[in-house]
Amino acid sequence: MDYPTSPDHVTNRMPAATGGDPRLELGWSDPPGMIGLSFKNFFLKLVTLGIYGFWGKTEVRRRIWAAARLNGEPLQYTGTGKELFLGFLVVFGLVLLPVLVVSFLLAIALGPKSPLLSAFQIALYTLFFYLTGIAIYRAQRYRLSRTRWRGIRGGMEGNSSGFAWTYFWTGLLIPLTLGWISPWRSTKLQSKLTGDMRFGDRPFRFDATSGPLYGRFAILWLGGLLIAVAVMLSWGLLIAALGLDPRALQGRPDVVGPAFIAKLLLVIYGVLFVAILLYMLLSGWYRARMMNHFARHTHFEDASFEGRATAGSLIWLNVSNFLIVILTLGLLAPIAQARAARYVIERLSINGTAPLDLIAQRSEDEAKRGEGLAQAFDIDAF
Amino acid sequence: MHSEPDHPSTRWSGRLSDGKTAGSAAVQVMLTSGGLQVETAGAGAPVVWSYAGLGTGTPVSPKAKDVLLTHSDRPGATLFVVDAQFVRAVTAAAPHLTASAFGWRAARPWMALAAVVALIFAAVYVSDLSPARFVAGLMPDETRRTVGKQVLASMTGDRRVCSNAAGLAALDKLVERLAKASRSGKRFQVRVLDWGLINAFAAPGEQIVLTRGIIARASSANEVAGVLAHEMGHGLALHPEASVVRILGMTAALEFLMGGGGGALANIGVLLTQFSYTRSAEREADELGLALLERAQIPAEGLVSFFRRISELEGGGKAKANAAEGKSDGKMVGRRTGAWDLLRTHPASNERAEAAARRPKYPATPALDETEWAALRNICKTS
Repeated sequence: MDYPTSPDHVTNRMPAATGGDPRLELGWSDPPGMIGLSFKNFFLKLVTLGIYGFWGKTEVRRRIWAAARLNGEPLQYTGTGKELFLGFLVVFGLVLLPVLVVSFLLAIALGPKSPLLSAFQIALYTLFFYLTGIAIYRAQRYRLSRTRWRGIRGGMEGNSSGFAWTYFWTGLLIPLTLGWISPWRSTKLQSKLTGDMRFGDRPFRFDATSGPLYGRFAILWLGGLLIAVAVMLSWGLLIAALGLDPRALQGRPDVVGPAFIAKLLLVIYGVLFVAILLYMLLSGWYRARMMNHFARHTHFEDASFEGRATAGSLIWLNVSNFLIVILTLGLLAPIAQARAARYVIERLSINGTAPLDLIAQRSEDEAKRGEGLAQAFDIDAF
Repeated sequence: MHSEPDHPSTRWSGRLSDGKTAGSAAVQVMLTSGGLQVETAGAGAPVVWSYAGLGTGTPVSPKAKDVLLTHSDRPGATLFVVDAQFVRAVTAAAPHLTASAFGWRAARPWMALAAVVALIFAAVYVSDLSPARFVAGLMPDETRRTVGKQVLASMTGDRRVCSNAAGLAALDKLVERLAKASRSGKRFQVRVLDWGLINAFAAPGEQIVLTRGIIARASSANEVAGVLAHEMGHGLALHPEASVVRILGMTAALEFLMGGGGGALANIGVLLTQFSYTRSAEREADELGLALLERAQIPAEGLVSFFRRISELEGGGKAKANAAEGKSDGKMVGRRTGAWDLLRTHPASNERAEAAARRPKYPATPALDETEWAALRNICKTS
């Protein structure tokens, strides 16, 4: 499926200006040579014990960014592998290594079963949860600051601690509210992430409220509950109907053979598989709504975004990408990343205009190193 | 430096951005011998972008349909041209844009650094320099004891320390005899645990554990003395301490290579039980152990014969009989005699036997007399 505005027809045709300012139009042009790049990265990462990963990731990003087009002209990713590598070194030296050494020394001084050690570990995981928020924010800031279009940089205007704090305390409330804080939390976090976003000297605006998400969330939540109950019931009924209850067979070792175990496992995992599939459908349906809702409430100058994500396409993307990565042991992960990016771009459009000639370059305030924390905590969208 | 470019008179249309605003202007581009000539409508004389200064974000593939160019003299400015023919012509004039090893080039110095680090590691490994042992040597006695206590706690769980009075007296006598022979002034703390597993190990801080199982399998006090001397050899050479340091170093390195995803934090307790020594460490412990036995005037054969007998037991036809025996023992798990763990860490080799045999004979007396040996065998009896 080719995007209707492939660069061949777009370049010299600025979208018709209405009232002076140019309209904005998103496009995608499949990046060439991704399979070859996947093999090269996989091999080099292997022989360098993973160190090449930082450069490989950068190379993949450059191609994906270049595939995304705004008004027919490509985005440019200007980050470097060295920045990612140094970012990780710093986090390793300042966070991971000290934590490892202190944990080890405490385990030795206090004993592996000491309650004090457990308290320390709980404190550590709490700190890591907070740091995850920092990592998410900083990773976005780094990527935006290394993204250019027509030479103009993106960026984030704000700091990560406010975002991390919201991420932290609303996260703690998820279990306490049985999950009901989730739509509000997602909206609040997205609002910070988008509200701080800049292109050149102009801000993005985000004005979504979480209200419209609660209808689908309620259905997702109740659906999840129903599915859980249905799983219990089906297990009970199937096990009783097929005569698989181990308790009823106590003292009958002749029946409990490999075939019996296989049947029992088939029932248990079969039911679970169907349940997970159903739940994925429901959650895809909710997430598609969320993506579209957030897009509609994201504005830049006189333009607004519009999302056309659907449950089916989103689930297909996730499932197929999962299979691509798993079946090739990560070799084709760059392909999966490009597919995910393509999905977002193709399902997103921009309605409206922006005074491009007046949008000036951002002043220098950019992060010098990249994403160390995000790397350490395995946060990685692209 | 550049020959006449292809398509010298073709004018391509492109878009030029100055990098100061997000606007862009339509331009006409020509490939001239001096460089890329860029002409903006109504903006006066065309400017020339030299081929050598041209840059691009990603390496340009020969199949590319468009290209985004930058220039080192014009930071921020970008020129975008959509035309496959132009792409081929401009890459012919500026071949550095096509470099196939684009990403590799930037990574090269860091790769070199990684290679140097790997080489240093390899050199340290090959030359038998042990940085772990160096660090272990810096640890104060108090620290080594504390570490050892936790290592023992991790390895032995809540197993009972055997405390039959007569047995303890016999054990103390044996330990004292060997410790004195070490001439190190170190106080060894040796305990027997009520544990069916056939094993013996040294933990940091000169703390040694023997199991009820190993004493039950020994055919004489000399064999127990041999095993004990070997473990004391490990202790004297600081092998347990070095092992702890090495585990920590390896974990950190793994964490580094996995990009922080190693999950070592959750497994600190498990880590402490991952003791293993290299063959050369075993050889060293044997040598130190044999020297201890000699100075203590205890027959050296016990050290070798015990390990050999256990290994024959495990592999030979008797294994089945012992398996049955093992089952009757509440603490033993599985079909093995329980000696597997010991053999894994102490492989019985001919080399080992030969090393012992090479040593000159010396006058010796049995490690313990018959009464003491009987008492040691009963050290785990409670009544």
